[in-house]
Amino acid sequence: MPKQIPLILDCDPGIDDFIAILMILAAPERFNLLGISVSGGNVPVKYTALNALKACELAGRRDVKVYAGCPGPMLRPLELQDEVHGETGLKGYDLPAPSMTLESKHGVDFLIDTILASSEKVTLATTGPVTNVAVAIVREPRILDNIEEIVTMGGSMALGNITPAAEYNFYADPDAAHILYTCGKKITTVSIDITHTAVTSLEWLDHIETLGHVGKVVSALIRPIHEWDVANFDTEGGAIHDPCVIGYLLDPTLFKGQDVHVEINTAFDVGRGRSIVDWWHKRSLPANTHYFNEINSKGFYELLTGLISRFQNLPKINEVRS
Amino acid sequence: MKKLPLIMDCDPGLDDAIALLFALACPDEINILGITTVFGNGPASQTQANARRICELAGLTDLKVFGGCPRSFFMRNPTNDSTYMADIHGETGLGGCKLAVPTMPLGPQDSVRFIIDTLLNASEPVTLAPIGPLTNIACAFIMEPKIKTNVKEIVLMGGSMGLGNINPSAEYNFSCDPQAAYVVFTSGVPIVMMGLDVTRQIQTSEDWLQTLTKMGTPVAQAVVDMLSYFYRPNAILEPGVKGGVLHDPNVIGYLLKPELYKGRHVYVEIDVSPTIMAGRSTVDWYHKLGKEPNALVMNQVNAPGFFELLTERLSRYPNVRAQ
Repeated sequence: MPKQIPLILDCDPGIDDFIAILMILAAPERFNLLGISVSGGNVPVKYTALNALKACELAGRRDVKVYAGCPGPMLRPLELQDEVHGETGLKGYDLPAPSMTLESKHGVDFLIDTILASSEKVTLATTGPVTNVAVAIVREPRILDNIEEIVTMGGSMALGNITPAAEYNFYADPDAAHILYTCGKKITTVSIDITHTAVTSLEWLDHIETLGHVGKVVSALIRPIHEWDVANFDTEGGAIHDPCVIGYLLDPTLFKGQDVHVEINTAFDVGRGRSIVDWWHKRSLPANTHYFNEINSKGFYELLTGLISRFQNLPKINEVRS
Repeated sequence: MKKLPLIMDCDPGLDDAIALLFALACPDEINILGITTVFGNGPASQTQANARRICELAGLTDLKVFGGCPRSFFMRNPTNDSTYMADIHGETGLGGCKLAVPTMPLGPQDSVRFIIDTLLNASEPVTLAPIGPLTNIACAFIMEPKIKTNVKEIVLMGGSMGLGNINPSAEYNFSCDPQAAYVVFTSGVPIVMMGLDVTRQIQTSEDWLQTLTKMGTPVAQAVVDMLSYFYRPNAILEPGVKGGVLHDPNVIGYLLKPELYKGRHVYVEIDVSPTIMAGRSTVDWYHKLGKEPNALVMNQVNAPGFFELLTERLSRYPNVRAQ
């Protein structure tokens, strides 16, 4: 049995972040989730915080600590993704208001205090704009010494998804992404180069819909993404980016890539937020990331399906509360 | 006069040290809520120690001092070249002034948390006086944007409409952290900018140092020891000046006596490009860009009036009471 990973998730739920949280909570034998910090991103921070709470409650895990962090990017106004995720961030299924409440501590303070205090090195997974993490690094760079690995969802070496140049998370706060990629630790990058090759199918959505209440919720949440991506990109299904980060932590053998140098473009022009990936090692710069270009899509969906099915025995949320 | 609630954010540093002594001598006018420190003229561990040294020198050990950000957003810290720091501010950051290792405590939280908590809980708007890189304040604004409404104004030392000092484009504080300066200048909070255009008009003279020496107090002697660093053989000076330039004390001079200064409400934009322009403050002095002014940029100071005020305040030591 692999060792339990002490994990922090920094995210902006958002539909795919929401599913990433469910994946973590479905595998308590593998993850010791120290807490979830949220920032503004796909939707404003009041909704990302609410949605993180909803995910924990749906999974029957009211003990998870959720911290609200930075409401917007470091230098720039927040640009939402609410066309995809809906105004509240969970278009597709109307979950009840959570009975859990947020922790009073700020997300950045949570990151600093928890990482500094941890007796073993912490793994940090990020699935939104990395504003919280960047501010934590600027305030307290010593946290880097107690981090095992930083796995981040973001970037693209080919086309972007929010602009031709950039993927959304890095576009939203390129300055924070720059701080992350120059922090001196090697980052593990899960980019849309791979997430766009591991897409949903209607058959799979129909199948997970049969996997209990959680399966029904997940299926309903992903369907709008499936439709959006089919309509907007040359894909046959929906890319569920953030769950790939958790997939990697659970089974790294599903992913292939190489060590490369990545630079984040912090310009205020069309290049904003582009991740310049030196795939062919043309720049003679030391590698600052392990960058994946292949994912075993079949293996990933088997893993995800298995995790969702683990919730089948969980009573429906309304029943939990009574 | 009603007391001004103030947070001093600094990186002492010679001229920061004198700005602190200047401010601490004015308990009737200024209520110092806390002294937050940041990397800049020295590493963060040194600037927080120096801030406490200055409080102890002033006999005001009840003041709250906080350690702050040890690095800039993009790690463009010119003080990574340790010789630069030592050349301008001396190895300890206080020139030739030797002060004992401080014993007064450092605040339990960091500068960013102190700034956020103080502004969230303030019963009246607070003035911020940053005289180093703007990293602490930018982090606080990013983490908790609603605190901006509780800032009365930011009176800062930084920038230049003319030549820079760390390079032809940029002044040192802004050059240390251009991204943080960008955050502050786009924050919507009223800013008074004391740039090199005005601060360079406040140059020390050997005559003034003699006036201080004659005071015969430990504080006056410490100031002389600090500033004598600029009069040593082969001293490395601010380009184009003969002695020391008291950049940071202008912020306190303005808070006490704004009529000493002249300037204009204009639009200022901070350059964040990864080029030699990084940290330049582009000042639209002639209103060419049609943008809403975001700062009161000073370009003139009544230098004799400034020195008269500073000398008189420094002469109050050692009889300065705690706040």
